[in-house]
Amino acid sequence: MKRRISAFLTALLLALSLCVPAMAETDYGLIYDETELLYSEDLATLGEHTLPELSEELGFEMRVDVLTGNSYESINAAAEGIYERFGYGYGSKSEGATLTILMEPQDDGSYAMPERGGWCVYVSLSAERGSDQALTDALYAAAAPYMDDPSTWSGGDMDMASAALSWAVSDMAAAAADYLDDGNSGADDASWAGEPDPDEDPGMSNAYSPYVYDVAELLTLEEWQELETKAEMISLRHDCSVYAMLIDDYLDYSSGGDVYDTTTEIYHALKLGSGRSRNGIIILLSMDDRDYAMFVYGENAEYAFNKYGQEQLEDEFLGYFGNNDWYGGILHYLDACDEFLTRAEEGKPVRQNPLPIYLIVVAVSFVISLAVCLVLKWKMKTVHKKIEANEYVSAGGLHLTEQYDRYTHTTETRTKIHSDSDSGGGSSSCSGGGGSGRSGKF
Amino acid sequence: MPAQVTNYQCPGCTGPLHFVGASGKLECDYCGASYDVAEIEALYAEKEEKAVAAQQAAEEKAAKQKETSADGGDWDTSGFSDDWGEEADGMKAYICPSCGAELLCDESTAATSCPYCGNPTVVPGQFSGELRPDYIIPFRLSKEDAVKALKAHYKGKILLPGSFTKENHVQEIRGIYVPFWMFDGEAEGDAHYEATRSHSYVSGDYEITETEHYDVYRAGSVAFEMVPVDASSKMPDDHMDSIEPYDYEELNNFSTAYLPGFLADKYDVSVEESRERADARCEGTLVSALRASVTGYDTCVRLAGEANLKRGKVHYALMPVWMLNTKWQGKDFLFAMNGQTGKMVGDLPISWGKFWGMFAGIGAGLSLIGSIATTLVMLLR
Repeated sequence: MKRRISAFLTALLLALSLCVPAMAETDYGLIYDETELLYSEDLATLGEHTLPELSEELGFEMRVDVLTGNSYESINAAAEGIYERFGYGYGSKSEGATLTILMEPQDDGSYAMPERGGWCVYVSLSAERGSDQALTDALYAAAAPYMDDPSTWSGGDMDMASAALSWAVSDMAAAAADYLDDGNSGADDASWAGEPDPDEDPGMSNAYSPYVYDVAELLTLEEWQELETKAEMISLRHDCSVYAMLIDDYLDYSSGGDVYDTTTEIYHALKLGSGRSRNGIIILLSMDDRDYAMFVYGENAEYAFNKYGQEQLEDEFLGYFGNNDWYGGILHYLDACDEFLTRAEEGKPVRQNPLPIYLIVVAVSFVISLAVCLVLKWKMKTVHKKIEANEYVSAGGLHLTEQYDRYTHTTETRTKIHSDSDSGGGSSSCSGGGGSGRSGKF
Repeated sequence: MPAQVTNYQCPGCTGPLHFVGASGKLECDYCGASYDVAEIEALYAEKEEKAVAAQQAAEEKAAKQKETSADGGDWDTSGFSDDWGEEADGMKAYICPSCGAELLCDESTAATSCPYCGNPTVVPGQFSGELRPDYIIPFRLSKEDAVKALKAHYKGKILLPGSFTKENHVQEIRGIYVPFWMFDGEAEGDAHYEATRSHSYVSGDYEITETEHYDVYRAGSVAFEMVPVDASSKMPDDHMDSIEPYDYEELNNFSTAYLPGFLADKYDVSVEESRERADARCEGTLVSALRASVTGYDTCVRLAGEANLKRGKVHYALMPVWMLNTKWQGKDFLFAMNGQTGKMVGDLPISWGKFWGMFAGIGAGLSLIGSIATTLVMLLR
């Protein structure tokens, strides 16, 4: 199973590294997008695979319509009208739901949702399967956290809107499954909610995103399972995803940047992180040149892992990777993340003890002060006995009568270089990709 | 026995003449006339000879008077004694040609002024024969310049007690021609050094530093011209060293005509006694010069060496010095200014309250700034 996951991830990462915005389509599966700007891998997967599969399993069709204009009286009327006009719905009873979104073009070429009446959920459900109003409320509640965030839908960054739409559709799918699950679907809720099912092959679930990526295949299956479970538990407990990625060569996924840049690109391309702020931390180890990077994203994550915290965290695990102990390194990384996140939740994040630094600052300040005062004191004394007579040397100065420089011998001293692997370090702070982190060698 | 002195008088009005550094001439305070040094020198050459003759005549006359008094026709002064004891060895008596006052001076005094009438006088016998200096550098700066320089010397001295400038008053300002021996010579010697040159490179997990060792030898000589050593025991050596150097471009042949208006001493430290200081300074320069010739090494340690001095001609010169005495809180402070270049030296008192206050202030200020910067950095991390 692990090998299948690895193969899938490799293909996925390669695809992500090659994908370009020009691939955007107006219609991908059950998702219709008139803006042509919301395309993402996740959204395409949802529209072309997840939602059609859901339709088949639940007998209930879910669609998304993103409109750039509305000839109807309201967004609700538009949703109903389009549903009727284009024959949406599954089966003879045309049971289904649509998430209809209205986007208005902006000066910068992006689209923004109107402040009022920008989106709605329309449900068509036969009475014997339940209440269409109740299901509407459930689907609306599932989508609202993502759809009602003005900062996401106010234009400009369409990637944020795309990500929010993906999460909204995923949660609506999960909510629909919940509601319709009474005896007829048999679907596993968790899989629709994007949460992994340990018994299911995560590589085949398009909504599933693992925490430990062993593309380089350095862990045994048992090790991977243990670490994956641990990472998942930590991530869920703290609402901050903790990732580790072992790959052969980061250049395979790079768009030209260094290992840190590549890590940030992967983090964003895979839409990693928890919640709307996508809080998370990822370490990436590239085996070919033993490059390493850590990336922290999201407000809560950066609160738990500030620059000092990142240094301290690094000290906890990098030495293990230096000794090729991949399992031990990730295990200590996860334990340290757990501790750091717990302390952050308790309001006591890992921070540098300032007292020794302040003491050093004070001591250095007073040493400088003493030096200044001694110079001033020395200037008070201008009477000195002379020990040389340089002013009275005749023209020509020193006349050398004999001189030689004879080589006698050579001595050699050897000093062992404190290598990166010895110290588990050799890294430095980085910033970019909307977060912060570190990179170096292991 | 009082000695005869020369009083340089204005040929026009017989007022006393003073040498003025700014103009380089002898000027009369009364009629404002000024005269070249050579002019007055020629005029007074004859007078000085007469002064010496008059001195001898006065001595003979005094001897006769003594004999007459012994006949009993006069006051009985038999209790008076010519024996001044040991003190007389260092004293000399002069008669002021202006007011006739009899003055006692140090025997090395060569030019002075009468404390009764202020008349500047020169003692010709002090600078005659073998005692005649070869050179003199005339005063270029005046007493006012010296006072200004002293005030400038106080400026910018943060640790100077506040009351020092206010309460400190110049007790005495004296323009003195200080006798100097000036030594010509050559220092020759050699030195052995152990020098090293290092370079580093990385090989595998090691940084290797290779150090090449060299046996370095240098031998050479340095010639010196007119190394000055003050020849007056009354002048502090360190003060005289500190106001160096003088500009020898202005060395003039000696003439007593430069002396009126200033004090002057003849030497009272012999050439032999002064030579050691000149030797030590020449040797110091040779050692430094030989060391400076060893270049291109990372380290250089002197292992052994020696220096020999070839002594040359010794010159005798008078150099202009302004000596300023001040008193503050019962303590004397001595300042010296080069009368030619204006270089002022003199140790100043330190306000320890200001010292520690400044130490605490700067330390606290830097600590505060450093702490704020540290806090900001930590917040940004």
